[in-house]
Amino acid sequence: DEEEAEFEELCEQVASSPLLLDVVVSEEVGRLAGDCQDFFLFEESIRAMLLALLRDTRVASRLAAPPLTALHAASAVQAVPVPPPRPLGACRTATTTGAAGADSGGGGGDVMAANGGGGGSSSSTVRQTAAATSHWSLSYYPPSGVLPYRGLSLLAAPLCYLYDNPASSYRLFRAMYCRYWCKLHSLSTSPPPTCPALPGLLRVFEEIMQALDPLLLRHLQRLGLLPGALVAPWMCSGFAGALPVQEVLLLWDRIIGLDSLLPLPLLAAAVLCFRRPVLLSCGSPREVMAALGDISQLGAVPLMQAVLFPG
Amino acid sequence: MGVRWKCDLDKPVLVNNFRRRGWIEVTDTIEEADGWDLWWANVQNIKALFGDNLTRLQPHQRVNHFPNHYELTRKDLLVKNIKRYQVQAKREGGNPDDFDIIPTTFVLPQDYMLFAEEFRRCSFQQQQQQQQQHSGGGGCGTTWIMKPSSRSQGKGIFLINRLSQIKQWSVSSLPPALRNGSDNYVVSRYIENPLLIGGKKFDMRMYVVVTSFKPLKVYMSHLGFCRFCNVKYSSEVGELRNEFMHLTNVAIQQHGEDYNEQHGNKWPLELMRLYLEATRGGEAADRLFTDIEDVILKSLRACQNIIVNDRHCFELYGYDIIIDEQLKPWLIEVNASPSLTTTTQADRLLKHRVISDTLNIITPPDWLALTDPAGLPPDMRDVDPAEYPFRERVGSMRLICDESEDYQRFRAARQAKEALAAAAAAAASGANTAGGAALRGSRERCDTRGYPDRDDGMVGCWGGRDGEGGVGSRMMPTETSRRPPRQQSATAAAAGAARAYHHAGSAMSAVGDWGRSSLGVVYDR
Repeated sequence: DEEEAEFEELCEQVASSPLLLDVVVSEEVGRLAGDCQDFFLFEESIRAMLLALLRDTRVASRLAAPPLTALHAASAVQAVPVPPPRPLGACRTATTTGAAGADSGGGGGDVMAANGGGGGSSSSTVRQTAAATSHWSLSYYPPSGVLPYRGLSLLAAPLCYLYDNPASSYRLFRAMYCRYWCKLHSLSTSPPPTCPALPGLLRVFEEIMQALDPLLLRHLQRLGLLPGALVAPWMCSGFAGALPVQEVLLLWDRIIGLDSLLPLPLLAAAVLCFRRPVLLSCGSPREVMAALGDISQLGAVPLMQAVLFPG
Repeated sequence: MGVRWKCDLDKPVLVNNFRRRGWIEVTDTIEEADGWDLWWANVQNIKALFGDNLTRLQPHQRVNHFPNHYELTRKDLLVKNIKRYQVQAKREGGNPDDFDIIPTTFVLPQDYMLFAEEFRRCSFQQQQQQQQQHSGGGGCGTTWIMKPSSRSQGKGIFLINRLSQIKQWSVSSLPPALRNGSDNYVVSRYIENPLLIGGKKFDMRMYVVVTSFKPLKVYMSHLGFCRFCNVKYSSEVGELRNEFMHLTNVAIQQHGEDYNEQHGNKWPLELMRLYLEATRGGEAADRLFTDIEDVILKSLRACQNIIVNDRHCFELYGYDIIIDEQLKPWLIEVNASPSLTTTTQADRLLKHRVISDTLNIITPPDWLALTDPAGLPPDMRDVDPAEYPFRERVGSMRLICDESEDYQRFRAARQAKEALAAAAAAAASGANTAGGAALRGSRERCDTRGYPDRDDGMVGCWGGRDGEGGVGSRMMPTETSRRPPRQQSATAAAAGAARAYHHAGSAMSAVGDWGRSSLGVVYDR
């Protein structure tokens, strides 16, 4: 089975060439998944999926938004940030020191040199030009170009409910990461109609809050809180871990259906508005955090509907 | 005056429930036979209570066990009753496969010869299959599990795959005095291919309340949990001794290396159902839960005529069920005193609710006036005495069987009333009032996960399978993306979003289920 063979191969790479990042991932998975009732059964699968994603070299070219940071494996022990893109047509010379090569860091020789900023649509041209002009290509560190940002395991965990084998869950996870979740780890500001990345999502959130409940917004700001910062952890994990699994899957259905991450700021605003009475009575940031600490009894869809179809 | 309660078990989930109802605790020093109204007794005291022919209970008094509950809860007696029920059903022309609710079981030492015969037959069959499939498999027999008839917490349980391992239980080798002893063993065919989740074996604990055996009246709670083994399952012969892999009892798993106090290796039933719906489909999950209900009812019917149907008695049973790879539920055993010890906070909440619902079921209406309203759910504070005996839902508990004539009459009357009301509604002008009310209601319902009644229970009430794609959509009874946007009060932005949302409905149907086809759409951008 093709899916399984792909995943098997990635798992073998994990075993044969470990990365220091694997330790980082294991620690997070153990904490977020292993201790949590919703996901403890899938701890091993989640770890396997994440480690496979770090190795999967097919990912780098398919990301819908350029990552916040990309690293090149400059040598066996050194990773350097990817340099920003030169203007098109300029000649590029190799800029690394030491034994750069496709076989440093993790396995995988497939490489794309530099992608830097820029919107999704123009990146392919940049890539082609860069590839044509660079002397040798550098591999990303980790090989897929995806750094394990905090909350990555939560983006994988709910998918383990959908399949009884990690290979299929991995395929879906990879697809969703490339198309949607990478935007949560990106500061790119591409204009509409492309779906916004994190900065755009936060802006939409603030606009919705301003339209729905400016009083609440001012109250939170007076307490010294940035409302965006309050909801960012929820948004960056797609609400996994905060809402029950079935609600998360309902929400992710809509992200796929609308082909956009906009349900995230919508739901975040809806939660705050729903908890309005409690929040307005809070007198300190600590109380606000406590009031928002547990949203596990809320329903994603009724909340979003309440905001979209008022009355 | 008040409701006086006695409790033999020092468990917070019990005692807190009595106290929040404002009921009065009676200590043991009061020896009068009618010094109490409700007694949550342990089985020894129940034996003494009903063993003593002089004790007469007052009509209003309630105890939490039937006099001979052991016909259901002792493993050897349960087997005997079920086998008799199977024979009777076959005689009446029923299909014996329908009554196949427990694995093949024998009582030792009495049935040793029968067991040995069956063991050899199964092993021979297995060898033949292995030869045909050329799968080798070193000449061992099939696996069987030995359990003491009347112990708990996994004590004394072990697996065998050779007759030699239990030769000492053959009748001939036992001294005559022990041959018909009350503490015997049962040996059951081991379920070698249990359903695994995350590679681990689990069993299900379901809570069932029986208020009467004849006519049978049974409630089942949608609250329950799955107990997982710490260790991944393997059916390899070398691992038969590994308790942590095969025995799901919490008392055993608690001592495993990987036991985690945060979740106690337990899953609420709803998570298991979600996983099944996603991996096997909604119909398969529905069918499984219907089958489980079926197994429970059959086990109760098997003992229906044997259990003394004392009107003062009710019982909260803990049913242990294992599901195999083919999604067939197997009854493992029934517990008369399901553990009320709690290992995690979620556990404590669950057991507290189950006890509360049990008490709400058995509370006679005249106790309600003596009960603190704060300790009662809203729908019990203001109760219609005519409907009280026929409540179909009490908290998490759902009525799954009531054979009484009164109830049949009540249902017939209600159906007639509903038919009349439906005819009247059809005649009236159908305004969109229902839709509007639902939308307004949705805001208030947000805090209960958007379900109209969170205690709807999972079994058979996961409606809303409106044919849309997406696993999540199947979960949601009240939502539908086909709901028309309410344009009149929406701002332009909201109207635009609503239109997009409406289109998303069709897009979502196109995405279909989470299979390969949707991946093609999503991945190749």
